[in-house]
Amino acid sequence: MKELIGASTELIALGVIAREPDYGYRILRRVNEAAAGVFTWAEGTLYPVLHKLEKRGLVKATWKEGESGRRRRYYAITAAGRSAMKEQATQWTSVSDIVRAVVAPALGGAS
Amino acid sequence: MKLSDEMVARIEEYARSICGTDLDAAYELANHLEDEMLDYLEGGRKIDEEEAFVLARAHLGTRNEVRAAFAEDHVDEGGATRAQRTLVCVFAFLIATVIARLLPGIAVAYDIATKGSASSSFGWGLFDGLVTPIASVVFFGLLLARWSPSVLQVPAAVGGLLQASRGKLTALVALGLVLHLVVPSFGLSQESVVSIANSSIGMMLPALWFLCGLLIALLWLSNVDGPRTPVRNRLRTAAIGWAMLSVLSLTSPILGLRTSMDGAIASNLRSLWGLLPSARLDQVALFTSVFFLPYLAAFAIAVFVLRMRDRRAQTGFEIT
Repeated sequence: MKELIGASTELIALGVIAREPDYGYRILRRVNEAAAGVFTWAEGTLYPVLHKLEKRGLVKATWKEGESGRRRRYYAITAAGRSAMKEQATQWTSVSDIVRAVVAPALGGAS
Repeated sequence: MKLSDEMVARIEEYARSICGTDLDAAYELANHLEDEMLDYLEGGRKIDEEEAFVLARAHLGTRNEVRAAFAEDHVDEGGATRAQRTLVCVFAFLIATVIARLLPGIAVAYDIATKGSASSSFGWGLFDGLVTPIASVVFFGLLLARWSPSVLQVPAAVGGLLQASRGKLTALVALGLVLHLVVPSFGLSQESVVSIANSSIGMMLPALWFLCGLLIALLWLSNVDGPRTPVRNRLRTAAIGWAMLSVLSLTSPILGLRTSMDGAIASNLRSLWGLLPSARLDQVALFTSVFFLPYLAAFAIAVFVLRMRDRRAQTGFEIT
């Protein structure tokens, strides 16, 4: 499980940001709400991923003033980020399909 | 709900103490803390600002964990920042100093090839007295500046260097000026190389060369990257400055190279492997390669360490 979650961090971050540009704290909350207790991201997971994605040009960070009047660093997905997200999502789907095809019959379920 | 100005100032001060001169990271951390505190304050639990601040900080973990999460120079595909910076600094310093030191050697070679003997009119002092100290300052600058591969951030890195070196500037300049003594240098000597000393100590040259560069880099990085409190900074700077000066003053005579009037070269305490006094200037290449070997070893070790750290860094999340 740990390895699976670790391998999916970039894709999850890209997916959340692709739906709506957001700042770190809210991205964290959105991910953890979506995870619904299956896993919990901490700050030590999120910010390094965001900064890596930014360095690789997959997301773009800009400082904007939020509703509260505070400047926040919003992360938005770039065109390259969308391509990377699609590619990674396809890979995940392929792997998932294979796992289901192989394992489900062995467990006695429908494939 | 808004936090009081006093609390916002405290948060920002805390964030700056964690992120240092990386203002973007500091501001992002401060924002995150404010959000976290407001969540506590707006929740059902009755807590005050002080408790919320403590809770928010505790939630983020230790200072090192917070720094690792928010600092923009955290571990990435390339490896650990400290090791990266050490490598870059060591190699930058090596290249700068080798160039500065070899130029006079090349000048001597040219002189001997064209005139049959070395002239004493070359400006050795220019390289010893100017180029290498500048390279040394650049070396420390690279260590002090927060590492960023982006050319666009160079002005910020320079500003960061000045800010980060506050209180350390005197030590920085002093060390920069002294450090060039540790680099093998070419000086013209009237002495016969035969009279210049003792090969067993000469064998220590590469090890000293390697260890000095790496130790200085690591010590300085520990000082720069460690938790910043004014007293600790001053104490560390004083201790490290004293230690470095002591080491350098002990080792510098060993590392000097001399070129005799007939073009032979030797370390101050005699050259490696007893090649001299028959050695000629074409053995400059041999010396250079000898000094490169420890650096190549350092490179291999650092790559290994980086890979190990990469593996550890891949699991930075928690499972519930």
